[in-house]
Amino acid sequence: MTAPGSGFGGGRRRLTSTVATLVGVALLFVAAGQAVAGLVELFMGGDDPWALFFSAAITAGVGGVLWTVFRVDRALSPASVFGAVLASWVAASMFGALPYWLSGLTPAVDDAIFESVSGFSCTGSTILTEEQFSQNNPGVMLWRQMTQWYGGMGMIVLAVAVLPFLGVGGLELVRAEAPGPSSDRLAPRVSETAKRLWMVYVGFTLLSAAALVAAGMSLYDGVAHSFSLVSTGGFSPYVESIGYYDSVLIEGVIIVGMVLGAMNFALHWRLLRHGLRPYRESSELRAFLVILVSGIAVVALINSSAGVGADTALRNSAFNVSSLLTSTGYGNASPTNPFGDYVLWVAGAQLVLLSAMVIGGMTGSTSGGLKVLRVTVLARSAGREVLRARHPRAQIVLKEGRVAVSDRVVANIAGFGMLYFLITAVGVVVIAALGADLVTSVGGVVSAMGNMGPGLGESGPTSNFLVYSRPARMVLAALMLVGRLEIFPVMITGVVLFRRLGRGVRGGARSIHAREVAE
Amino acid sequence: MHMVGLGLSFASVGMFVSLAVDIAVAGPDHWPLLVAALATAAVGVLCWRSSRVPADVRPSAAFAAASATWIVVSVFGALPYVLAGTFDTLDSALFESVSGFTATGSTVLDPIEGTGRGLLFWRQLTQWYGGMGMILLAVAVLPIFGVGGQELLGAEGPGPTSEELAPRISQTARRLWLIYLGLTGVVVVGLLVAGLNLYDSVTHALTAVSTGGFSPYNDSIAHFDSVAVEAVLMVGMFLGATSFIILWRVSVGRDLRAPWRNPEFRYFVWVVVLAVAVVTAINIDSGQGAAEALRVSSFNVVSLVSSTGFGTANFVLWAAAAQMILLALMVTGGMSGSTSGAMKLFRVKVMAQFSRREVQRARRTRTLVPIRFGDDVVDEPVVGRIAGFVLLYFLIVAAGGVLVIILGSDIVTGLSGSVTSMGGVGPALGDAGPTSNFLVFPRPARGVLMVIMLLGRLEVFPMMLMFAAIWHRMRPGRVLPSRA
Repeated sequence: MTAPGSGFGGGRRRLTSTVATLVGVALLFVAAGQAVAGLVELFMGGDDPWALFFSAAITAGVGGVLWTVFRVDRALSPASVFGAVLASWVAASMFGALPYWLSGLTPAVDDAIFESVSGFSCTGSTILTEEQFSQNNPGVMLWRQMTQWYGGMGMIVLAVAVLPFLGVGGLELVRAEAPGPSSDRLAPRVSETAKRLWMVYVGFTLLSAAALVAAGMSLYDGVAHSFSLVSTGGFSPYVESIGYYDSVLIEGVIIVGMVLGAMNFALHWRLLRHGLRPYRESSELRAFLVILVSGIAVVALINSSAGVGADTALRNSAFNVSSLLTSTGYGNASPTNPFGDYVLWVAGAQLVLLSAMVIGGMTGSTSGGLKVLRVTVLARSAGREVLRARHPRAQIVLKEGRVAVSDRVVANIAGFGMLYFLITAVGVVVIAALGADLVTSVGGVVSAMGNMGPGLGESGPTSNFLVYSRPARMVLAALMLVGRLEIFPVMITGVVLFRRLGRGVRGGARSIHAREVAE
Repeated sequence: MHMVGLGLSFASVGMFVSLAVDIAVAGPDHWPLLVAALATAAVGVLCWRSSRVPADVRPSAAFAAASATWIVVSVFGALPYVLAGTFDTLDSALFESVSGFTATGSTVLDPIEGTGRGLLFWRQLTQWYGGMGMILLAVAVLPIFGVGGQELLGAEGPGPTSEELAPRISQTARRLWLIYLGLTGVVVVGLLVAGLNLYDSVTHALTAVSTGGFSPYNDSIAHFDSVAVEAVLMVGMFLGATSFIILWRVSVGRDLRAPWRNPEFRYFVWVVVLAVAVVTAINIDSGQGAAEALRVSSFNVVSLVSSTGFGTANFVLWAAAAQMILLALMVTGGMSGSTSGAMKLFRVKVMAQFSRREVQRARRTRTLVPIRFGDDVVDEPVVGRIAGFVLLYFLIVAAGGVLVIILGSDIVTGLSGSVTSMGGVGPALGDAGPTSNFLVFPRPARGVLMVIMLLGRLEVFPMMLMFAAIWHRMRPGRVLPSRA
């Protein structure tokens, strides 16, 4: 996959490799971000502006070379798209880890990579300690927020323009449910969609930054939090996360931002043209809101029956349910509001939170988890099986909104669900074997697969992921990528690479030859 | 009605037998057993004689009959406990009875030895009956109606392929129960040889072949601390979790290669061997001696994968990874057509292939890859049905877990309690481990678990359909008519 092709085309002396081109573009973006963060570090008097500038230079160098040497292969196969997506995420994470390492924020390379993967996958799990949070690195911390923003940027294009057209885990349903703003061919579609959705994304970021500043944050804080808010990432430059402010107003703004961030961005785009109608027509949005509201209600009820004041219960339930259902992962616990730490809640409330982590937000958004659309289709198909057992010969059509769901799509979604749970289960066994207790392992794996951030047990919102052993942290980082890219790209790339290795040199030569003939 | 009567008559015979045992060992519970037996027999015979099976059995009627039989038998089965005053409360007696007839093996009896031996014999017998009913259900009833993809296995049943349900079931039943009886006898002899007395041998054989897991001793099989006993029981549990169709072929058909031709059996052996190896490795790693680790790991793995639930070690104290594997085994269960519970391996296998196919499909969007089970291609509707079953299974486990936890258990105990009840295993993790009992769950939670046991035992659909049917009838405001 990463081997450069040998075709020359169009008179321009550029090698054909979709993977390398995409990686190059991604790295250039990353470099620009690092340079901006470097400037911030410089002007705010941080300790390590040069770490950021060095990283930017290295990243830009590698990215620039790749981008000038390679061009996109016109005949795109699903496998090559998946490979390219995976490769750019991995490359961005690796180069994105440079600032942490060079600035000495995280002296160990694997810790830097964990933090970077957690950023680019919009997860938000951290291994930074309180001491590291309080170092004088405003630029590096801003870079940390930016990684999530970039991750979200990549994710919306992936979720709206790429995955639905490759039929990954039944996502072709999204095309009918919430059509993206573009044509049918992949390459032009991706660039058009990207331009349009990024406009929405950037506008949304500016709006939320303004709202946060208006609610009482400083300019730096507002911008930093808006980056991880619209991307439903959940990083914060403060160790207490949102609990730093202990402000109901800020929490309210953030809840709204998280919920909007977990909606399909194609809906937001169509808001500009069609007003509110797309929102009313989306059955997935309805289901999402129902889940959100009932989740908050149940958790608030459980908490207030556990002897907490009604207002405290409502505030913390609303914040944490939204934070976990949208897979953001902000925490609002503070010394004055200790009840924000959901690890202290009764087991029933925690289990509802765990289910929220698994469900996740809407398709076409930056949120993680199974996604509401899949959950509703799965629930309906389970109901259909009961009906079928009663009336063995009945033909029952599943409907999602006004769209009939074909059996093929149901099978796709069921397969996705199975894989999701299978990977989660295997992950739990591995993490537990590497030395964590059961609740902590389950919480960590579910959190990583769903790109949430905090786990349960020892890795709750006021703790960090240092409670996992070093190898366990690497496994979790891998799971974050698997979950972020909706499983299939990673698995397919794995299969393709494995086949290539197995086939050896002869097969490799043949495939290059075949491509030349095709040119 | 006919089915219920038949079930009750069987149960009353069991009570008479228990009475005989009670008299033989001079236990204190003659009267409760006698009264319960007479009452059950009276109602049972009445139901049986006053009704007959209609010629045309619809799926929903058959399912309702199965569900009703299990529930009614469980209620009457609780009579001896109630009359003997074993439990303080009615619901505990019912829990113990349901746990028995579903061959689950979770108990609220503490301490077990405080109860008369005749009554304990009845407790063991409930599981044996549960296993008996289960074989019948699994081999003869569910496959015909294609519950959760069971028709995949229906084709190879040993019964005559007559179209009519009733004669087919009764013939199949007679043959399979012969095997069941024989297997019980073999295990009894094995346990006698391994050094147990007659009472212990019989009682444990009853719950081993039914993969139930009750034991008349508080510390279960650890009471004997004998490798020979454990080995015999392992064989018993393993065979109990093997399809009785295969056992029929091997013992009566003298077809020794039959197991190896069956893909589910091969899969079963693989799962057991792999799980034993991994769990042993984890236990050696956490400091047990190799021989000891192998002994406790293999026994507990077989005990849980067959959904029996005998205990020789407190696996709650093992490393978290080992516990997680045990939890996974509680979900997979043994073979279809056996007395074991949970999802059954053929479903697990088809689902594994199904997931693999989805990955392939994402790469080559237009390929058609058939899912194979052994040499047979599995029809797509069957695959869909299996997926639906698995989904419902997990939904119920999750919902049950949430309910139990809300009613006041911690997360690990609540979830594993739900898993173990659904799979008919017995012990759970956390506070409800093998050395503990289900008294750790609050009373309403035990009620929930009881319902889950019945749901899991009857493979989800029959119960759900019965609820749906009752719901349907109640809605127009009619009184529930009695079923003939």
